[in-house]
Amino acid sequence: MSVILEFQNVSKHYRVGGQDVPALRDVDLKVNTGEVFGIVGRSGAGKSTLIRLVNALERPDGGKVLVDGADVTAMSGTALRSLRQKIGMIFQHFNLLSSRTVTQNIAFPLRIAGQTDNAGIRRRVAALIDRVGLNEHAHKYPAQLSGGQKQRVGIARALATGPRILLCDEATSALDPQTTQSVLRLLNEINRELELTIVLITHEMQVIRTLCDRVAVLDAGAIVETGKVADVFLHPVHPVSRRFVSESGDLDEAHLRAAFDHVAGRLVRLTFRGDAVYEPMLGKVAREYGVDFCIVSGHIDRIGNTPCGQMVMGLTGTRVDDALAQIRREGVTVEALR
Amino acid sequence: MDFVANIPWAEIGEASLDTLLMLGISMSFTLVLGLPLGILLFLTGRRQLLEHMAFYNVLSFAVNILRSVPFIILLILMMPLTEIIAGTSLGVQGSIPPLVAGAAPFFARLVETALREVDRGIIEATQAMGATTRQIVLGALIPEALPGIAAAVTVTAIALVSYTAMSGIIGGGGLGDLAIRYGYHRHQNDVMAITVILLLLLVQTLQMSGDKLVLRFTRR
Repeated sequence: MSVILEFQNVSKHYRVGGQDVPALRDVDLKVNTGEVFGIVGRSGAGKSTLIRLVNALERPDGGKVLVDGADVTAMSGTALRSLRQKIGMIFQHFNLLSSRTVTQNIAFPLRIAGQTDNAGIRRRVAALIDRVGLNEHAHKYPAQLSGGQKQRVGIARALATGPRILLCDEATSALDPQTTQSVLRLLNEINRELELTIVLITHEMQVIRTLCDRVAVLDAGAIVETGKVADVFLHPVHPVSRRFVSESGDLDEAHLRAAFDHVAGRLVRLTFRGDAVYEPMLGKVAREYGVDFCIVSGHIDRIGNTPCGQMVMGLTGTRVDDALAQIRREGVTVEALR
Repeated sequence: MDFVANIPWAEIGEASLDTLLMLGISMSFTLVLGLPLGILLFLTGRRQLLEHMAFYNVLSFAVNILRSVPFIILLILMMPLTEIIAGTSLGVQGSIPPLVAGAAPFFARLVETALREVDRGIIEATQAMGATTRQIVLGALIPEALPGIAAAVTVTAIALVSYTAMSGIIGGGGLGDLAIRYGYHRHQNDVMAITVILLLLLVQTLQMSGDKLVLRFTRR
């Protein structure tokens, strides 16, 4: 796996009212070619600044940003512009030109890149419109489109010049949940079809869960946790990551803790991954070791393409330890809560 | 019949033509000078693409000077300069330089304001495509600000109508000149009324076509 994007010891400050406010602190990050990399954080955590460093819409005070090994922070003029033409970007508020139709909006980056072959541009734009499913809207103005349709135009526009990286700046934050899902699906398809690297920032864990391969958690300008999405979701280490994960679930931590008092026996959290989710393992183990169990909470979900399940249960019986050992042998992670 | 006969219809026709001529020529020069000036003001302003506060402040100050001088004073102050530029300070020809000097800074400010109304996100998106400043201005900023610029043209054209009337005082010709000579000096109220009606019609026509233009360019 090759690294397409790398942040090396990047820092950035803003001057606000005569005071230095750190926006990014010693950020180190590597993004592999072809992966979907998510950066999650609250508003003000520095995500926006971080993603804008990739195409030099903002410049760091220190450190390097390498795209394909070339330092973006040292670029200017023609070199910078041709780099930007190889990096697509979509935005929370779409940022389409209101004076141009869908077709003209998508053709705009091609014209900027200096293409003059009108027939070629027409073909390319038509193919992109078809790819994002806007055939009926080709000659409408952005004001005539819904939010989801506007973001599809944004995606088509970002793909026009055949970029190597797609930057998504809170791309679904202005959309309703259903539209969000359909836009995420489109991004997922594009990632696979074109082997396009996607870097996205969001404050919604749901987006990370649906789309990303890896995630970095950003808090107060620093990266506090990085890992595969499933790992971070199922076993968040840093308190900020934990909060994000628990907020994205249906049950919040406080409720769960309150429920613990009513459950007898050993309290454990089981984490299933992959096919283990579908095995009728619990019943078998319970019968074999004469153990009773009471489920306090549980859910089965999908993180990216992997089915995952997590369950909190109380176990009673004389051979609880043996039962848990057997469960571990079946490939399930067991954490003792009490 | 006496009433109609006493009115200098030929002169009114000629004066109307002069007013239209002054308006057309001065508006053209105002556009040619004011549009780039407005774009320059916008681009060099705070947190803009070519931010350069020293340059901006000087330019902005120059614009403010021209805008704060009452037009009637500007007319008189500029007379020597007008004679150098236009060869005369009289008639249609002599009225053009002060008209442009009065209207171009005004128009430039309106253009600057119209450009500021363009969503920063659109500029950022265009930058992210790898556009040059020139491409951003011509491809994104001006098309997006076109409704605002059309409104600015309308307001400026109407201001120019009243300026042309003022230039009548120093022998600029046109309907204003007529109103002063017949209406004021000879107390011919009927001529005064007719010039006022004609000016009103002109202003009304400008406003209506301007509004139509704004509507045509608005896609929001």
